[in-house]
Parts: sequence; structure tokens; C-alpha cells
Amino acid sequence: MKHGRIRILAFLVALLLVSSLFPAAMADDKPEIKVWQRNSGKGGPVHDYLADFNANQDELTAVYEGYGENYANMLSMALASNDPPDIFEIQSTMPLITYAEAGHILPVDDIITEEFKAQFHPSSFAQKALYFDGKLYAVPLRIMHYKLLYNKDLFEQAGLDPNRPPQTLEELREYAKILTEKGNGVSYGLGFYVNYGDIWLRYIDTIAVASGDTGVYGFDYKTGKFDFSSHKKFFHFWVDVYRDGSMFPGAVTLGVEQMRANFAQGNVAMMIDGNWMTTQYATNIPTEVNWEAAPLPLFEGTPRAKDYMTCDITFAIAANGKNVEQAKALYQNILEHQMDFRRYGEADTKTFTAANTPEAFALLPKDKVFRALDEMNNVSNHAAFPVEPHKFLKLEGDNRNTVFNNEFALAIDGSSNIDAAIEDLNQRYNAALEKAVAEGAVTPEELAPEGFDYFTR
Amino acid sequence: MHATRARLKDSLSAYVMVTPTVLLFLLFCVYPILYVLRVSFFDYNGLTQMNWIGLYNYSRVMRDASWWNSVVNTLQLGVLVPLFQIPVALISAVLLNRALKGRNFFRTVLFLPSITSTAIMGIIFAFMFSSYNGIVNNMLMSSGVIRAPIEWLGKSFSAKAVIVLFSVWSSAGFYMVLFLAGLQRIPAEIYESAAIDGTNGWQTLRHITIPLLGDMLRVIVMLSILNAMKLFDTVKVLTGGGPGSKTEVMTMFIYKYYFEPGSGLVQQGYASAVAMVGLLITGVVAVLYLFASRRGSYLETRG
Repeated sequence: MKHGRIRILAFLVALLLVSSLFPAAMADDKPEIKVWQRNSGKGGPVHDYLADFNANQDELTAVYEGYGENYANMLSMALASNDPPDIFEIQSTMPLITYAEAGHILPVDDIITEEFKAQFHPSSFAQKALYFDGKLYAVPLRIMHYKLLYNKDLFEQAGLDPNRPPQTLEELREYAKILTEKGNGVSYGLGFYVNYGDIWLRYIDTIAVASGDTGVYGFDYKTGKFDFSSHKKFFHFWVDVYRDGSMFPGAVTLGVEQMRANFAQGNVAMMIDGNWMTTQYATNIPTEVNWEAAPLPLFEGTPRAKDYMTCDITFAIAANGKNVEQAKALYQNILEHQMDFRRYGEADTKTFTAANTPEAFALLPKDKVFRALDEMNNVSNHAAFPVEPHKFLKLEGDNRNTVFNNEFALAIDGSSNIDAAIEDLNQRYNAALEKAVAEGAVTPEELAPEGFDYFTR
Repeated sequence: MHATRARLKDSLSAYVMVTPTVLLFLLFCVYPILYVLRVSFFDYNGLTQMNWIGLYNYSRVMRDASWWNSVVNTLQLGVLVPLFQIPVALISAVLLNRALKGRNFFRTVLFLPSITSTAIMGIIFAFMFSSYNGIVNNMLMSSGVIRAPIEWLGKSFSAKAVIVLFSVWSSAGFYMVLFLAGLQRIPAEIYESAAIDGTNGWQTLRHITIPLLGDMLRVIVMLSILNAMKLFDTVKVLTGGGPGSKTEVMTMFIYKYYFEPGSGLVQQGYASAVAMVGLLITGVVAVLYLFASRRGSYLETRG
């Protein structure tokens, strides 16, 4: 009798142990497709979309995992240990080409038909960064571009027309002075955030591109060389605005997140930021501020060339995933359902053009306020550069951002030597470019396309 | 025969006890160092194939001005932090070694920062020294000392001063506890006879306490120097290496190239070469200090 009980108990324990080893298999036998994304918060549109996707079909289970700042390291470890997520996000700081070269991701040519392609913004497929060895490895989901964001209430308070944002940089400087003066030490004219690597892409590159001077990082597609000298006039302009006292205090030490928080609190009247802030200011950093967006101002009298945009944040399919076919199916599904992301509160410009129509925007949740939707999704004068050469370099020494951060900190004390810094940058960037060409990372034809024009590109 | 066996048994048990530590040391210290040493001879981005480039990364380190800028910053911290930290810790320890009322309370208060997360304390310091609505600026402005807010973390000198202040404040308590342990080893009779001889507080500290702390003091100073040279989280959270790269330290420089280049490609091969040079520099500082302090050691020169 006693032995019988012990046997039953042993059997139950064994059953428990075995079942704990195979929880998924016991629950259901649908293949699991792991989707990784860089995501500092909880949930988010991709997470919510996949939750609905799981509820509405029986073929597979999408498992969403988001990682914050250490995303790139987590991904490297997963790839190195040969246990990759089936689908994962690749950001602009993690060049796709290196993953393709290392054999970690699969080409997607077979699932992207010409008919499917026709439904996307043409720039989605134009960028070299998405290709390796002639094959397409990913399709971006988001179009990124930059606008001048401004607080209409602060404009009104300062006696400025809230429906007439600055049209030129000279006007911007003037407005910033007025807004700061009327802000009485509480609000300031311009948000500037040097302690953020990408600030010069926003405050110099985008304006230089729209002015028809160079591409980003001072790259000149007419000569096929880097030439940072076009940066000089913009650099001096921002130093002057700082000296006017029109920047929010802490310009040299603050990062973009702190500046966004202050913009959301009504302490900053104007700042340059990305189009995705329409979503962010409605969801992650909800704000009562009545803000609008405007095209980036240029120096007076400068004819406007095409504006800068890029679309390089993308998902890729792992080559060593456990369920490659199902992963491809899910990948395709995500691409063609970009419209549905609106339901989950994503107001960013999408590569799938149907997602940028008024009907698609009408799907956005009604309980949230999405501001500047029209301007933040206006890419009528925008085009991506097929090649952004700085992304292919193994640069020696400080990059442009660090050099300009240093020079800006020195300039406000009056001790900057921007000419020498620019000369040094030109020399080092062009030396690294020569190496990249020699190694075949970029070709001379891509660097200086025949008949290139900043106005019609 | 019996004695030999006993000695063998003794040393065997010592080996057994030391083995786990040695294994962990080999696995988590020696192996990574050897791995980094190997990678330092390659052009490697962490994903694609490693290309052998010999000593190229090392020759590049030698002519990389921004690396040497971070070395200078690191050495400055290695001198400045102990310069303030050790006296603060020692004086606190001497004061709190006496029969003061509320002694344990003050010891706890001073020690608390040592067990608090550096990241959180760093963020609070950054708030305190913020240009806009920072507590420090607001206090100075309301008391009429300054009229406009100061960008504490925006100027090279003041940013470094805040880092030193933070480091001193956050770890002086830890060194104070070490000093307290050392002070309690000094026999009370010595102080009593000194008191009879009529020494004042400074004389007691100068001629009794400091010399008798001996090796303890040497170890504490070296720990303080090396910890200041290894600073990473403090600088990352407080200034991010800014303004520009004026407060960038060696560890941040290595991290940047290994994990987050900001623009361009990750360069793990170069970061590894830089890390090896950084290791060498830290090692040389430690050896130089030990050599210099051995000459001045009370116990060695007098006894």
C-alpha cells in the first residue's frame, strides 16, 4: 500500500519534470517565430500588431521581444551563439551589410515581387545599405526625415504669428531672440542638444542637403569626396544663436531626450527633430503643448533643393532561424500590413504608400492627440541618397560628431579653430573613403554618379 | 615523514580552497585578456571575418590624438580624486574612531553612497548641476552669488570638478571604513602616552596615525588611484564624456569603439588594441606607485 503511494508520487513528480521541460510543446505545436526589436518601452505598435496577428491565425505564433539601449549587444550575442531571433530589427548604426557578409541574414528577393515593390515608396529599395552582393536583404518600414517643430502657444504669447513659422535661418535667429526675451527665463527660443551624437545630422546636414550644398556628412556627390567646408557657415550660425542667449540652457550638455521633455513641457519654443515625434508626443511623451511642424529654414535667398530623408531602420530574416519559411511569411505580412500599425498609434511615415493616405491616418486611436500629422508626413520634396558613404567607413580618429561637439564647446568660449578641424576631417574621411573603395565597399560610380544634381536627384 | 604528510595535507587543502577562485580568475580575467590581445592584431567588427593586420592597430593608437586626450583625462582623475578622497576618508575615520555621540549614525551616513547605484547618484548629480532649474544654480542665483545660470557640465574645468566631487563623495565612505579597520589595529596606549607628552591633534595624526597605518594606507591610496583610473559609469552618466570629449576617459574611449561608434562601423580590433595599451598604462601607474610608496613606507624604512 505504502509502496503504491510512493510509486504514484514518483510518477507525478516525473510527469511534472517532463512537462516543465516541454512547456511549449504541451501547450500547442505551432512554430514560434521570435521577433526582436529595439524598444525601450513596453509594448508598442509591432508588439500590438503581432498580438492581434496571433489571435487571428493558427499557422504560427509570433513572439515579440524588445530590448533597450543594449539591443545591438544582445543581438550580437544571440547571433554568435547561433540562437538568433527569426526576424530582427537592424538600425542605421548597425549596418546591414555586415550581417549579410557574415551570413547571419537571408536575402528577401524571393518574397519581394515587382508587383509588391510597386506598392512602396521608391526610396525603400534605392539605398545601397540594403543590398549585399547584388541581393536585397531587407525592406525598411519607416521613412525618416526632419522638420522644425515649434510651439504655437509660445509664438502667440511672444506676439509672433503662430501660423507663420520662420521661413529662413535669419528669421529663426530673430524669432529665437524674441521668444527667449518673452519667455522670462522660463521658456527659451531654441532647443539645441550637443550631447547627442546625431545633432549635426539634424542641425547642419539636413539644411546643407536642402540648400543643395552637399549630402550628409559633407559628402559631395559631384566630386565623390567629403568636403566639410560647407558646414562652416551653419556652424557659425548656431554658435551665434548660442551667443545671443536664445538657446535653452544646457545646450552643450543636454541630450535629445531632455530637450524633448522640455519641448513637451512648453519650455522650448523651437527645435529640429524627426518626423516620428508625431507618434512620440501622442504616446510616449504625451504633451498638452499645441505644436506644429514646418519645413527646415534655409539661409535667405537659397533656392531649395530636395530635402533629406532616409529609410534604413528595417527588419531582416535570420539565416540560421529554426523556421525560415514561416519567418518569411511573417516578414511579408508585416510589410504589407503597415497600414494596420495606425490602429496601434503609429503615425510615422511608412514605406508602404497606402499607409500614408488620409484613410490610413483615420485609423489612429481617437483617444490620443496626433499633432502636425500633415507636415510631419509630407515628403513631397524629399529623396533618399542611394549611398551615404560615411556608413561604409572605418574611420581613424574622432568622427565628425565628436569633432564638431568639441569645436562647439570651444567656440562658445571663443577658442575654436574650425578651419583646422574641417581640414583634418576632410583628410581623414577621404583617406578612409579611399580604403573603402579599395576594399570594394563602395564604387567610384556610386560616389559620383554621372549628371548628379541636388535639385532633381 | 609524519610532518611531511601533514604539510602535504595542509597545502592540498589550500589548493582545494584556492582552486575555485583561480578557475574563475582564469575564466573571467585571464581568458578575456588573452582574447582581447588576440583580437587586437585583427581588423574585426564583431560579426564578419577577422583580418590579420599585425601591429597596425597599435601604431594607430600611438598617433590617435583623441585616445591620448582620454589618457590625460584619466591620469588627471587618477591624481585629483585620491588627492581629495584620501584626506576626507582619513579625517572622517579619525573623527569617527573617537567616542562621539551618534558615531554609528555618521559612519552609516558616510558609507551609504558606497552601496547606492552609481547610475542613480550620477543622474541626481546631473540634475543638481543642470543649467536649467538645477539646484546648485538656483541656490547660487537666489543668494545673489550669480546672475545667470552656469553650465557646470558644459565647461571642461567645471565638468571635471563635478566628476571629482562626485567620486570623492560617493566612495570616501568606503575608504573611511577601511581606514577605521586600520585605526582599530593601532594600540590605544600609544595615543595615551602621546597625550601625556602633550601632542596636539595634528601631531598625533602626522606622527602616529599615518605612519602606523603603514601598508593599509598604501593599499587604500593605490585602490583609490586605480578606481579613479577605471571610472566609467560616473563619467558616462554625468557628462557622457562632454563637453565634446573633454572629459572622456580611457574606459569610455574603448567602449565607444567596441560597442557604440555613433557613426560608422564598430571597430572591435582597434578597441582591443586600445584596451591593451590602457591596461599597460594602468599597470605602469600601479607599479610606479608601489615602487615610490615602498621607499617612503614607515615600516620598511624604520623597521
